[in-house]
Amino acid sequence: MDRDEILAKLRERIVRFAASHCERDAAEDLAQETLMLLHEKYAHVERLDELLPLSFQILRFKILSQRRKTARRGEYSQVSVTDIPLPDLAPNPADYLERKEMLERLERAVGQLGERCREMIRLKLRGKTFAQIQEIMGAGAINTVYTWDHRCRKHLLELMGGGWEPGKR
Amino acid sequence: MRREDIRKLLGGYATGTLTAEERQALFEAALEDQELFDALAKEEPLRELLEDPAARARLLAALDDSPLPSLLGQALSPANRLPWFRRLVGQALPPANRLPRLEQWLWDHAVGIAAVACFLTVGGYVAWQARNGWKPTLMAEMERQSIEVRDSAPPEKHRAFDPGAVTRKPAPAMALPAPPVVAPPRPAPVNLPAPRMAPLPPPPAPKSSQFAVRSFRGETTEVAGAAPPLMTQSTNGASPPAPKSSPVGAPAGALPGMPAVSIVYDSGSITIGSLGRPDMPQTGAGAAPPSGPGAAEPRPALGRGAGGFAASRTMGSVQVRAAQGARDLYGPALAPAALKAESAPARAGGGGGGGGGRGGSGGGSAGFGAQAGAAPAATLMQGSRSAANAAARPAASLGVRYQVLRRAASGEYQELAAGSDLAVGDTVKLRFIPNSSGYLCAALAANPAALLQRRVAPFEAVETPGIEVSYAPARLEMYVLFTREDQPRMDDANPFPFITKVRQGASGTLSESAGMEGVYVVNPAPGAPNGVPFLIILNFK
Repeated sequence: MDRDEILAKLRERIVRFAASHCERDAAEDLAQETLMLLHEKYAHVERLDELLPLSFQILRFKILSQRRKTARRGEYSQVSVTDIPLPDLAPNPADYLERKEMLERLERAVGQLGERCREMIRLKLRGKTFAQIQEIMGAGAINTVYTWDHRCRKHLLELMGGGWEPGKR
Repeated sequence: MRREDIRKLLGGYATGTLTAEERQALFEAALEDQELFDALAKEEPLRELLEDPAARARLLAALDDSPLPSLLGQALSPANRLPWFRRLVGQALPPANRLPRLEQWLWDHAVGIAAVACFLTVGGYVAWQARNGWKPTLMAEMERQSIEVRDSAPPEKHRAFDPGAVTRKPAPAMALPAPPVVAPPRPAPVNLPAPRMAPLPPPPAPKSSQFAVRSFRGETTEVAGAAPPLMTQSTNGASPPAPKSSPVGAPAGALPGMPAVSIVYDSGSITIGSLGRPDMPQTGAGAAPPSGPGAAEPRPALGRGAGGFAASRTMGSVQVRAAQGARDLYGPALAPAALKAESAPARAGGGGGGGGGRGGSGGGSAGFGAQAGAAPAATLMQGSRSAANAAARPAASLGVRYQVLRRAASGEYQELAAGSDLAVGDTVKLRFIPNSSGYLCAALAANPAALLQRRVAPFEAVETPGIEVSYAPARLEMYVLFTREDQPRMDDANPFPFITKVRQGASGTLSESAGMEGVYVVNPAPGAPNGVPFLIILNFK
């Protein structure tokens, strides 16, 4: 699969994903901006396993930026523009707090998991692959490890309220 | 890899667990599957977080520091195997891949292992007991005793009773004679030898300053004090009046721990409004019990705004639970005239407002026991004679007599006998007559501010303000404490020490209802260190 083909499919997925978070027109704009960035700034990235995570990252930033713009424009809150401080593009306290809160929620959630799931996450965080995890945990097949991990992720997601970020599912 | 299995790779994306092949498979599938693509996109915040080594380290620390299970069931659950256990066992078993299996096996068979361990422990203990069991240490030995029978026969004929020597003789066959004429049995003359032990001394003559009382718990206690002149049956030194209701002297129907005195109005409904305590008219220190011309006017019922009760009216009946003997221990029952004469000086200084005129033979006077016709004439006369000296003598047992008074339609308060009806809407007040000087405090449970708190003279009648109960539930509880010594004033902000003291001490008091005379409550304990605490419960229909 060449790069153009990947980008074409990627655009379709990004538009649909963004449409679930904002309006259709805004989703088209988000997808367009993401692809433009991939095309202009990351033209050297061609492999799928690099393009896809990169596009996810860009898309996430674009969505966050689009939300901030919406707030600034007062589309949902009519506030005088003079009362709105200028945005600081550097990592701001809100991002820091959001990340900190997410980490705390994650800590609480993993504390409620069963031991197998805890062990699975522990090994994953230590950089073990699924094959190594299979060996360590004594699973008969690698699919067993996939299944364990899938269930653990599902349980963890439930413990966190359905989404990794607070209030976003 | 199947599509279903590819979805299971999602969990490895954020943590970077996937191999290159797994990532490729996952991403290709994500390009074809929108749902998988969305799921991957939603993993992005987690991936970003876990990219931070500090966050990873913190999460790993959280995984290692797992809390201990609070319940055994959680501990035994395979989903909650403990890292501390794993660390404990894991360090002893080097091959890392064996540890989960061993641990899993141990946890899967935890119940069985525990049962086997218990069985072995108990079995071992029983076996050890059987082999090295303890032998009972002989602390005392009972010898066979011989019973000496003394009679008029010579002493050499005394025999020791030997059960083995006793043989049952066969009963001779006999023909039954005609039934004899039954004559009343005559006691056979018995010649009893003189007892070997010294004869008991004759019972001491009863001291005039002591008499025995039976306490609530069935103990017999010598109570120092002047013998009340009217207690002829209890001051003769023979025996104290035994309680009739139960072996322990508790009144019938009284529950353990319940206050000894309670007037229970069988049914009814009181609704107690908020009591405004500071502005409530009180018969406080220096305030005289209602008497005089002002007494003819009924004390204004305490409305809700004025700090009283509000009420609605239904009918009810009165039942009095009482113990026996409290009336005797209380001392002389004073006649209205005596009370009037005795309490007049105390009333002279107070303008306590109208307590309600009392009907009956008192003719509107404020004397106690206004319905003199209900009281025996002898009692009245003796009460008159004893009244003069009653205040000077210490009471036999510290006690309080109280009556429930109800305001009539005319505005006057009239005493109620036991069994009288009470109804929601009635305005009642309580009259207390202690048999000794002391300190009287009463408070309502609904609003535990001091309703009455003052020093009292012996046989001085003090009354609470009128209490009007307006709406259901019609239950009025009043905590009363009478002590000889002065006590700190009840703290309206924190009445619980007072309430607790009354509740705890109420079980040690005796009570007895006496019709129109009210209810007598005494503390038979010598000296009555706790005073006379009791609880009055009024239920209104």
